[in-house]
Amino acid sequence: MKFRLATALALTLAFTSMATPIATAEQQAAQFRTVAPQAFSTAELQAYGLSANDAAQVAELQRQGYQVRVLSAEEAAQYSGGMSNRTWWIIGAVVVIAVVVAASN
Amino acid sequence: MTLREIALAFLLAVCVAACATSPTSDLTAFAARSASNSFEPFETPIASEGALVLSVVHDPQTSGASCGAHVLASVVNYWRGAGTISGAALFNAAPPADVEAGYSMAELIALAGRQGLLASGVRLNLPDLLRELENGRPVLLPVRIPSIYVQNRTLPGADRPLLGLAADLAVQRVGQVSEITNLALVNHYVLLVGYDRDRAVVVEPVMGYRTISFERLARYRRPFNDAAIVFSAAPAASPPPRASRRRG
Repeated sequence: MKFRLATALALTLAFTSMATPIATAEQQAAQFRTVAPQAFSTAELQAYGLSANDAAQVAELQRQGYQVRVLSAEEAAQYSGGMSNRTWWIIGAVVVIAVVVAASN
Repeated sequence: MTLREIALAFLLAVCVAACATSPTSDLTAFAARSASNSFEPFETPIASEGALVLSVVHDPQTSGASCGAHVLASVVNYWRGAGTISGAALFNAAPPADVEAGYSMAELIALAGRQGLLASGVRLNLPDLLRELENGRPVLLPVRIPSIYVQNRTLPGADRPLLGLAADLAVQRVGQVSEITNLALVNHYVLLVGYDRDRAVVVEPVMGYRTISFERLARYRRPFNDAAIVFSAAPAASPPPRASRRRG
C-alpha cells in the first residue's frame, strides 16, 4: 500500500512537472528581435582572411578597429570538439549517481 | 510514509520526468521556455524585446563525435534553407579523421566550403561576436565544458521548473567540481545565435537552444583562445572559400 502511494505521488509529481512548462509557455512566450542575414562585406572578407592579399592588409584592418585574428592552419587543425560514445555512457552514469545522491539527501 | 519512501517517490518522479526530457529545437519553443534550458542554475526568461535571437533550427546530435556536423548542418540550413542537409548525413558522408576527438575546426571549415558557404577560423572577442549576430550571422564556437552538461540520456530536470530543481542543482554541483578539478571536461561545439544584456543564446547540439552567461561562455572558450568560425553565404562574384589558407 505504501509502495502504491509512493508510486502515485511520483507519477503525479512527474506529470505535473511536464504540464507546467506548457502552461507557462502560453503565458510567457517572448518576442525576440531578429535581423536578416547579411553576407560578408568586402572589408569583412579581408578581415577574416578570405580575400586579403597579405598579412599586412589584415593588420591594417585590425588597426581600423577589427579585433580579429585569423587562425593558422595548424591551430584550426589542432582545435577539435566531440567525445566518444563511451564517454557519453559514463556521463549518463554520473548523472544517475548525482540524482541518487540528491534524492538520498 | 517514511522518509525513505518519500525519497524513493522523489527519485522515481525524477526518473520519469527525465525520460520525458526533450531538447528545445526551434525558436518558438525557446521563446516559450527560455528560462528552462540553461547552463545557469537559476535562470530567468528572456523577456526583453531588445534580445536578439536568430532563427536557427537545431539539428539533434546522434553520436558522441558528431557534434561539429550537427552544428554545421544548422548553419548550412540557416543560410541555404531549412532541410538542405542533416548533421547525420554530413557525418556519414565525411566523418572526422579522428572519431574519438571529433571534427577539427579545419575539417568543419572545409566541410562548410563544400556546402557552398564562406567560412573562416578566427579569434573573436565578445563585441565582435555580437557584431556578427547583429549582421545576422550565427557563429560556431569551440568550448571546453563539463561533460555533465551535454548528455542526452536521462538529464533530470533540464527543462522541468519544479521537479527538476534539486537534480538540476546536483548537476550544477557536479559541473563545478568538474571545472575545479579539470576532470570530465569535453571539447564541444555550440552555435552562438543570440544575446541579451548579460547572457548569450546558443544552439547546443544535444539540448538545442540554451542560455549561458557571458562570463561562463568566456570561461568555456578560454582553452581555445577565443577561437570561432564565421560563416556567410558566398556572393556569386566572390572567390570560393579557401579553407587551407590561414594566417597567424
